[in-house]
Amino acid sequence: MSAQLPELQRLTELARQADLPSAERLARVRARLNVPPPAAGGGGGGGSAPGSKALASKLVGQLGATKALWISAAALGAVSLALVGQPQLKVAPEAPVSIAPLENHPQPAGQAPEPPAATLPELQVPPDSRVTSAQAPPRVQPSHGTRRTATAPVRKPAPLANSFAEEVALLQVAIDAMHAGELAEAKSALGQHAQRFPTSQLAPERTRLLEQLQSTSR
Amino acid sequence: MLRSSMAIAPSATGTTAHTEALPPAIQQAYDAHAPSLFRVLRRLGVPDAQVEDAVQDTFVVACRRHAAFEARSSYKTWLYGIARRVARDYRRQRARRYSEDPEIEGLSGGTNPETQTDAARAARLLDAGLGRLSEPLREVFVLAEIEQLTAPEIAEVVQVPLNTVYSRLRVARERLGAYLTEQRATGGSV
Repeated sequence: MSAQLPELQRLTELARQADLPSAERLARVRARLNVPPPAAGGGGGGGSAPGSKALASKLVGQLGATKALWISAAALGAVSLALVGQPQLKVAPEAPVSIAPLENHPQPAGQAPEPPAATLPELQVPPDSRVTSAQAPPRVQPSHGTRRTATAPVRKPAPLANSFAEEVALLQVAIDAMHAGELAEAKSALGQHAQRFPTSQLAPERTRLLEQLQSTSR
Repeated sequence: MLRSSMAIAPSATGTTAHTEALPPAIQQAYDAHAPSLFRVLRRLGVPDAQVEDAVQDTFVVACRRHAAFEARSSYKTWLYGIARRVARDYRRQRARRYSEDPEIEGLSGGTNPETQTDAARAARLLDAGLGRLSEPLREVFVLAEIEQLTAPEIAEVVQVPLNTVYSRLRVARERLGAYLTEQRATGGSV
């Protein structure tokens, strides 16, 4: 199935070209939204109004505040954990242990209640039928001419059912490492993914992460 | 259609227009992201004739919710998230599959007519394939392959765990790959 991946990518690449809206369409929606045309020399989306700059700085500020809040919450959590220590289960020794009477438990429908142990009839075993000595089963002597492979074919190990989970886990490690700024670890995880799953359906994601990693490390 | 609480007046053509200017950040977002939003809305199943309305609605909603944007995600993924919901609304209103509407006029291709033909053919084929995918699979595939978003970005847009994004992406690729194979076997152009 992964052999079709390049073909699929070629198709989506071509479709991406077809999907670009015409300038007229963009202008029509722009007019409807009452958006002024971009300033000359702004450079296609680079035209920055002072208000947007203020908003951007506000957003960055919010992000900073959120991050700070998270970090302080994590630190507080760590300190409280250290102070409290490992939570322990405590059982009071004087706590009485009570067992509810058996007849109070409802029996499932269609199931007869078990008779008490005392009423079980004792099994009568005739004395001559008892096993008196352990007998080993007769041993089969292997003939010298036979080969092991002739009797039982060697089974190929089945592909791991959780290989996809492993694959995703490797990508997740790479993403987490990138977020943490540990680029070497991210690169190693991606390399491992490339080695173990070279023709995976998630190969484009690996490539994208590698590109992201390279642009980050520059 | 989605309607904003902001001042909107019907235009001469029957569509709606804003009587107030959008906030500068939204204007900037329009310049930066409107072409991508056209594309993603189209690929998410909004008929070509309604794509302009859908882009407009996306920005109207963005404008309305602008104050609630908390920068937990990037502005781009936030806009894509809105576009995704707008596309869902359009699809549900229309209640028929996008693949039944092969009209793709008004979309400019590359400068080379030959490329444009190939691109148009590829777009039609992709539409037909996408029409066979379920909504969640289609969304993830479009965001990954057409919009080139990373899996964590898609997880933000679609609001699902990263593992779910990866598994949906894998299934979508497998199904579309199988569709291409089937098309080739039946003599369809790939």
